[in-house]
Amino acid sequence: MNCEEALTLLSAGLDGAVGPEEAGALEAHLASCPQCRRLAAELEGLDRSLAALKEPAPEGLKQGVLYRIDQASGKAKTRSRRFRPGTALGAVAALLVLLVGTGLIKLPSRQTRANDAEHAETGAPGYAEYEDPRLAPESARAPAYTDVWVVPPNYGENNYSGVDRNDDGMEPAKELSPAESGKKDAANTSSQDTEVSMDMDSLQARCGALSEAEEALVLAYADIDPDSLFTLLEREAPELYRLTSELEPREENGLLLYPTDCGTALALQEWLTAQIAVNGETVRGASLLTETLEQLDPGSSSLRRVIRLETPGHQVAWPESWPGAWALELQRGSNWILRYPSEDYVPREAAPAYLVFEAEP
Amino acid sequence: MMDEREIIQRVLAGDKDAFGLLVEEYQGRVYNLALRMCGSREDAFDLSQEAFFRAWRGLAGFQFESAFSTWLFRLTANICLDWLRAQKRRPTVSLTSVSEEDEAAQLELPDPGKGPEELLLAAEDRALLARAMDQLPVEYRQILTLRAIDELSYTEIAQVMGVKEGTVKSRLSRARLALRNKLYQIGNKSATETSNSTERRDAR
Repeated sequence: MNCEEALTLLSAGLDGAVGPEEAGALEAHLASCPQCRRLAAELEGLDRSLAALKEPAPEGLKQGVLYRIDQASGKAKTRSRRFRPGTALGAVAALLVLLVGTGLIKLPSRQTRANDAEHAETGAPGYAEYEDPRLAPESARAPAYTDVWVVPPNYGENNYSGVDRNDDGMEPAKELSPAESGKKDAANTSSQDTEVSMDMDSLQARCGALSEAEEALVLAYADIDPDSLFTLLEREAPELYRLTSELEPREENGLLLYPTDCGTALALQEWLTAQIAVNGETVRGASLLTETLEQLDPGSSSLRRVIRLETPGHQVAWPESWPGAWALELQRGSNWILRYPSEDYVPREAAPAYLVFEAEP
Repeated sequence: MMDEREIIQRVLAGDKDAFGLLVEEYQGRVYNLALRMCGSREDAFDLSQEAFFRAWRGLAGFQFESAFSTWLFRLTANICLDWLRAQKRRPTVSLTSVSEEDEAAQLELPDPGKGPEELLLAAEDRALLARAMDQLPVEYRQILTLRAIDELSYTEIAQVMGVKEGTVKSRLSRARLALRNKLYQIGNKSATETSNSTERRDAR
């Protein structure tokens, strides 16, 4: 037996796939081959270490699946596609669609900003640590978030057939999505007892038309009105407030469009995601921050890129000194997000985006 | 407690809660498969959901020819492979381009005369091990995950990967060797430092 054959048997042995005859022959080989003896020990240890790599499925996976199923069955036949990498964000516009609620919006309770003092000292941008929304009292539950819908530029073509382009503004409220039902429960304590009638079909159709015209991606839907959002941002996310509060909207086809850039839109989306509860479960928000912090380890293979932006000289002091970068763009999956907008972040005109709200009737 | 066939029948009848049971049962292994094949937790999360979603939609076509699990893992792997292709990732060596000579050469030990301790120490560093995995050809990542993490049998792996059992056996052995060599390659520095400090400690 040569070492190659021994290797195959060693490997098979780890899986209990070696017969007695083969085992005997392998023994004989090992007796006279210190290299293979060593290899045997190594392969065995490696297998154990591999098993230890196993991770539990993250929170929200099952909910996300069930929710997608809900969305797909019966309602709008639009399909969500993951953002296609290779389509540089700078090349297409983006829409962050924020639906107007109807009086059921509850602002979250004031989040702890324990680390803000620390940040102020180090000059780091204030990305506050958010409390787990599950712990928030019902009345303070953040607005519900339906899903991240990414509509590629060729929206409406073959792959994405079945989009209802009719202006069905008068359609009655459809069966509530899990997000909507969750919010409805939360809202029972509200003084206003209004039904949520998020006309998703119509909104999606209009956004679809808009996204096609603009060659844009729809990033997210969330039911909140502009005023509430800006109030929230002013209190909870001053950097995002700075980037969005001065925006002048225009109205188009029943939608309010606030022109901004992709970095801002994505940062806002990320921040919203961190705020949002679906069915009482955090949608990846709380864990996202932890994961992102892990990704800041330069030695980690999951950190893809850090981009240097325009005005030099401002250093991010947190979490580690990262010379030269003052706004970190991190890749989360296939998407580039602006994670920590610094004071000096300048919106980039080359990457246009819109914050889209439903216009008041 | 329903058996799986019953559960699937219910799913085919439109029972979404029954499908939820399937998701609970398999989400761990599906996620880990996606994670090791694609290298990022966020993408694995998205792709795992995609896999289950497509399983829901495609279940009508599931003919009970194989076990549901292998059908699902195969679906997951294919989604990951499609995604990797679309990503146009940094060039990973595809299996077909590794010549026989190269494979044989891999048997050469990087550092003859030393014991297995160095490598075993390096392997205990999860981040290092994950990085080593990430640098292997995708077929190796896939087969190592299916066997060592998802604990599929050779028969099941053969079905998931669409190859013969003999191929599973040989590919697995080559994958293990490749991982070991890769770990040596990238872990050499840290392993040496660790073992040096161990030696110093032991010497006292």
